[in-house]
Amino acid sequence: MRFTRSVVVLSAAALAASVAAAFGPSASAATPASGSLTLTASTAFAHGAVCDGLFVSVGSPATSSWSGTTGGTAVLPVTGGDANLTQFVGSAQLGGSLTVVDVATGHSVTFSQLTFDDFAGVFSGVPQGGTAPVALLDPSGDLSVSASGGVQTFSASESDLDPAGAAYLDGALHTAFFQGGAAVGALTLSYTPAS
Amino acid sequence: MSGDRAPGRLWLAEARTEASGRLYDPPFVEDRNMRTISLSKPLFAVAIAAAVATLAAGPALADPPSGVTPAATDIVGVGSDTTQALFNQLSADYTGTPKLYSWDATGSSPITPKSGASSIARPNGSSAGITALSTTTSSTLDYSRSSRPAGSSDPTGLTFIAYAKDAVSYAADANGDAPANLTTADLKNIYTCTDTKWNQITDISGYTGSANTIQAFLPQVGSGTRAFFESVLGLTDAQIGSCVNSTVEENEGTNALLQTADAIVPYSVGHYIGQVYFGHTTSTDAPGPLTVRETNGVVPIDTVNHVITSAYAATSYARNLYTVVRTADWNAGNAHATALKGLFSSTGWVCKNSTAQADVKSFGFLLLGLCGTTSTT
Repeated sequence: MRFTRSVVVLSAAALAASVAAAFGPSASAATPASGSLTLTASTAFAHGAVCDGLFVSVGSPATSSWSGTTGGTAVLPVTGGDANLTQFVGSAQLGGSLTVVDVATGHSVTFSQLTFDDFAGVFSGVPQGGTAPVALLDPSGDLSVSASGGVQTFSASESDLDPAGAAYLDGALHTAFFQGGAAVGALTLSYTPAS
Repeated sequence: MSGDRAPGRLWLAEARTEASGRLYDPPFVEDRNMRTISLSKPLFAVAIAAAVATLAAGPALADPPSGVTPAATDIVGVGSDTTQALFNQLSADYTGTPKLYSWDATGSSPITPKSGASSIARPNGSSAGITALSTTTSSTLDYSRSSRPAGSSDPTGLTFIAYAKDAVSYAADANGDAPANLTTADLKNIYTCTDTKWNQITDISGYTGSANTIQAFLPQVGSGTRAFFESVLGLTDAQIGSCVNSTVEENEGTNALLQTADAIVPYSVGHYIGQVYFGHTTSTDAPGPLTVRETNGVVPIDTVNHVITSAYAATSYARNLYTVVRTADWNAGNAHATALKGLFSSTGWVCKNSTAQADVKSFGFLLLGLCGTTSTT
């Protein structure tokens, strides 16, 4: 089986436009919330996924990179929100999208309206064609929060697949790969509240 | 499989154009079975009463049980009044080793917290507990309960571990002169003694206050509830007016001083829920005639589900509850650190065990999705 890059290409422009419409800066804030959320997929998880023909595509304005030692990294820009990370309230809205593709079958599912809920402790996204968010990742492992110079940082040494997200992905992609609680990789949110 | 399908390029592939510059949309397969699944970690402020019914039946005793001296290796703590009853229950329910013990904020003093420990004055409140923790070693204390976050004046070398959410409002006699709602500005005026009579409060719709003198109370100095309440009002201890009485123990409407028509006192909303709806009371730890009121028009209690409302949990009157440990102990990598993390880390007993979570709910607090998150001083 031969896979070509064309399989992973997304309509970035259309996606960026929709994301901007959905998460544009609040008109009431002189300076909107800013920052970024960095997701890491460990080499172990990524290898297991790829061996099953699964991969994730990151849609603009999010970016991604790969390291042979740390695995895949996606950086999602903060586009708004009312989070206060040190108080565990509110949420951060994130730009970009995540598309999970099963290259063997051609099934895919795209999540946009990505959000980190600081009270529930969940990273979630709205699947294409849907309206309700699906929980995707739960921060786990060593969790820490700090604030310095107006920038709040939440870090999780691990993030686990949420059972709801795992079930959704397996249902949408007709796979049996995704397991709730499976360790995916680290998660870090750097957030400067609107002012 | 083709060699050009390197995992590194495929796992997190950034959306991009093809070499031709054309944007390409992969086919999306419509699946009639595709469904939306709600968050598996929903907002914790709903529908918990039923779950709380499973609360473990073990007795919660104030302090370590009579005749029991915690072993030197046991995990022993002091501090917050607001969470002492919860920790008594957690101590009763935790069956692991080393054991978990908790000393109340009030009672006989001094205390010898564990075998071989130094005798210390019983810490009454979060700040007092934090001070005690920072001035002793694990031979005497292992943790402190705190109902406030780390403050700029706290000693360095401490780790605050969040595990639940509470809120603070004001409480007053159910049949007294206080209105059902006060704004932050009203409360600030009351506690700076700018407003000393109820009829000076004129910004509450439909309320006409009496000419009676407001009797404003605060918990004792060293109380986390006091420190938090002051911080929400933007006040310091030094700015509290001379009309304010600071002699009452927090969350105890049984105090005769508070049983007047004109008394007003900050109160833990969670603790109140635990007292009123889940029967967690003693002869002194009970609401008496006091009821918890609204601040800025936001209702604090969901009286159907017996939880703090999600709206109130999103206000500045919401606060997080912490277990405080010495950072050096937490990171020591030894058996003591393992015991601390086994109890308090994000994967520890308090955050993950169903009985512990039922305990937290039963005592009126909201489970924190990011339970076990640390911050350091």
